[in-house]
Amino acid sequence: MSAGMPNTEQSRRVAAEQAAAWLVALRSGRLSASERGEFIDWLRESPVHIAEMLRVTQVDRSLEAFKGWAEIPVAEPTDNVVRLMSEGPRLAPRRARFLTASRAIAAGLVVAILATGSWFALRETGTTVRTQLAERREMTLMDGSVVTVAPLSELRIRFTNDRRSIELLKGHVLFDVSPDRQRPFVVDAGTTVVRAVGTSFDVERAANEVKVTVVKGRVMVARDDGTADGDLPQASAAQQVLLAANQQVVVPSRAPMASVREVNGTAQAAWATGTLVFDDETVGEVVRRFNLHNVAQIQILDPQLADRRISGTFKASDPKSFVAFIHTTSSDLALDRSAILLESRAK
Amino acid sequence: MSENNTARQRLADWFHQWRMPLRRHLAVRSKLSSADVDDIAQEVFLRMLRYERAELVTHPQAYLFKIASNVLAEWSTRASWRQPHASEWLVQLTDERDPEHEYTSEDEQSQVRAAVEGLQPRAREILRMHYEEGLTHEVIAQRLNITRRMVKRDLIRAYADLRRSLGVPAASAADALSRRVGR
Repeated sequence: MSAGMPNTEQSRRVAAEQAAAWLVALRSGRLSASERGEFIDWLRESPVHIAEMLRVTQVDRSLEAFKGWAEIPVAEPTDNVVRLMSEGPRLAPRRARFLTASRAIAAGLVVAILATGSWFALRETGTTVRTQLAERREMTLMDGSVVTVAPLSELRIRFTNDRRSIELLKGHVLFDVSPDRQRPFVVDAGTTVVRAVGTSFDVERAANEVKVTVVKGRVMVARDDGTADGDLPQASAAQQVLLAANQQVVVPSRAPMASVREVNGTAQAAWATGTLVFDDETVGEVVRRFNLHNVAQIQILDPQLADRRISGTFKASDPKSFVAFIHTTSSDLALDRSAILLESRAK
Repeated sequence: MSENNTARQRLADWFHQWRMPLRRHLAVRSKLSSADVDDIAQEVFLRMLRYERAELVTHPQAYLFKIASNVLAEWSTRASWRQPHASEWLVQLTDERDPEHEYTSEDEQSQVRAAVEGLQPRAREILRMHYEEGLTHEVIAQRLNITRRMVKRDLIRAYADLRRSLGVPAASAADALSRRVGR
């Protein structure tokens, strides 16, 4: 067994860095079940990992017992600024080597961190796509990925040699990502970052939350309000989650990430082919969807109706049949026909 | 809710119970050579493989430190004829007193000081805020006007640096693997 163990100084150094990352995670005290599993798997990979974990624990212990902090010279404010500015470029190659050596733990996320500096620059460039009311647009990108943009959405697309970046400014997009291990496909939706290699997933950015649904493959969803961890083999439970097919997570802008729930991914993404599938949604939400996809707007005049929950599959371009559906299924309510109206044009 | 808190408290107690003696032990560097750490790790590794993964995953740190404590205890008993401080180890392992005073010599304090002073200024400041003031990453990030991920990155690098300057020197991994804890 030990014959197969890595025994170079290089692997020792990598293990030391990984152990340090785990110590940071353990000290912050918030590991999810899957992160705990990763930690155990990592420990059980090699005695070197265990030895390094014990060594870094020893460093931790020494720091806790240290009492001379007052005599330690601290950073001058100017020093801070200088180091901040000069750090990025200097750090990158070292990190990159670490990455290669470490069998790509969350590889793309590390890349995402490295790219932080240039990330701001590329916000200003790239291709911007905006869709109008009732406009659904399907585009094939340079790498073969297909992007379906829902109405009233806005995104910026920027591809570099090592990264495919999409910034979702608002709205709803289905991504069918063409596999390319060298270039992670990263969707930045403000507070949420979604990373994929080759997969199909759906991202909806609303005013106060981001919803991510996976149709096929797996993606990593991380909060990006300065807390998502790229340089760790794990992050705190509330901040990052690996989504599999038919799973969905909602990331509110001002609350912890909701728990992952099982959904029908294909149904969730059916809007991209002009079909709206609803499973126990409020009429208010259904109407909002229809109104997004059509110039003709539905109005609900009865608030009671807006709160009713319905399920069904509809053609996005046919709000008339939805209104008819409501009329025929609402006989139990004392609804008159004016509770829901279809106007011929947008306000 | 309160039941949940109780369970959490129990876990915290358990963790503390196993973690503190081990860390205290590990801090006594003069009595624990690098080869020792590698030997202990080798044995811990073999024992961890015998556990069900699902069991380990419930409280990974606690299991790691518990197993390591057990190995240390057994090993120091076995090795007492060649390790003059072995009995002292056992006392420390079972000792529940506050570690802050007992086991950090003036010598060790100055070693830590020298190691920390060798770090970058910002890393020093982050370590001080984290260990002396007990601040979270968030608060440190706010105070230094940097992002949380920068705080974490600096911490990771600081630990890796300190592991080299402060931790017991690494025997080569090949040595560690060829050496085995006696049965």
